[in-house]
Amino acid sequence: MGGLVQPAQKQCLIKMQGISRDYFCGDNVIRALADINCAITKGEFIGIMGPSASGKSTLLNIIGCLDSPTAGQYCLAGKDIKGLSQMEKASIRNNVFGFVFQSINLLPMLDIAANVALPLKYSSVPKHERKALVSEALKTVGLANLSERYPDQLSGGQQQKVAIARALVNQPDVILADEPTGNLDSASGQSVMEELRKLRDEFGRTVIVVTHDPRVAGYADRLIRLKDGTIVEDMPIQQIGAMLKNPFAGLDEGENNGEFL
Amino acid sequence: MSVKHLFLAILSKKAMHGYDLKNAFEHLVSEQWTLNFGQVYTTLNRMERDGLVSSKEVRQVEKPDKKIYHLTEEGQHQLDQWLREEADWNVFGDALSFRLAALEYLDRSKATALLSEYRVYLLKLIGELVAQKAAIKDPNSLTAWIFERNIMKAEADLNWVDLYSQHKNSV
Repeated sequence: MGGLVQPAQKQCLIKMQGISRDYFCGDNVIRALADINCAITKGEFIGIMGPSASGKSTLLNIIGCLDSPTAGQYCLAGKDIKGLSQMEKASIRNNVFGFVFQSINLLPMLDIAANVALPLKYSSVPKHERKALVSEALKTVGLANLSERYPDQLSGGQQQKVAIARALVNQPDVILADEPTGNLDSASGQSVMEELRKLRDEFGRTVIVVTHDPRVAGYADRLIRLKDGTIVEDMPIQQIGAMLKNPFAGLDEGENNGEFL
Repeated sequence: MSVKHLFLAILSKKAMHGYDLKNAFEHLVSEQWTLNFGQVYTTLNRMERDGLVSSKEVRQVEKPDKKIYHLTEEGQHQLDQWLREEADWNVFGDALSFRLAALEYLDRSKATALLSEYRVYLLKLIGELVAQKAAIKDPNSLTAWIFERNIMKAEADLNWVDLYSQHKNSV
């Protein structure tokens, strides 16, 4: 039995057991997450859905080591986060995760290349290698030609793609996105989601997107639905399955089949 | 709606043989669905029997003769009628509404289970529609917009399921 379990554990990147998060307001305890159990494998594209205040952002923040659980165990690549120092956590935030938020937060006085280069300020990458990383990240999101522009010269969708490039510049294993399409129209939202999907398909990144937008199902391998701080659904999504019937199939099988609907 | 009606529309513009009709049809739905030749000819034979189209043999050198199909007056009449038909909205006319009503009557817990199954179904459906829409070559084709319409309908249904489930939980 042990031999069978071993390889699966190796693949497992994120493992949460009995994770809870309480916030204390005076005498009141607000339970944002209650007994979360889930395992995420390297290379998965996960959509975390749920109404507001269902705990989805709290979960994302715990995954990204921006917040700590009140109870439970969180293992990242087999290592328990609990024992780590603040320095070690900061290093994980910088090297393992790339963050994309709903509020895009580009600095208006810096050009696009300088915005993308920001996370490198805190990394150990030598200065002469930074330029190459920035252009690589901008190339990945298809904005290499806009590197000298300024944020206010770009559309909302383009700005969010710059934010994705900024999240990519440290070459993280995992992209964490909190409502990345929240401020965008549906066409820009679609192209941002396609960009995130590409990171998984072509670059093998693990992508975790928190959203209330059901269209994420078009890009995700798996949907986790939260409600009142607990997981109420955890389901795989198969792309292009047999669900969409061909309305024109089987017309030659009988008199009545000439009509449908 | 049926294949017949789209055939009538295509033939009303230009008489053509089965192969071209199949191509014109598939172009009209942006290649999202295909017809096999059996379907094309069965439909055409039935339409000819009902007097909606008439066919003429055209001799070809070194190839089998081909049949060219024309729209008849009756065919044009049926097309015009179909295009003028008014939308018909049936409040209980889908599988969910009736099953939900029956289950609420028989066993409320099964009605709750049906809602959560339907919720999963809708999410998977939206996933497929979004992926299939993204695969359409021309994002501004009518077919892409029809996919968008279906996505929006499914989203509206999902909203309703959430609201109704909330309401059920609160009573």
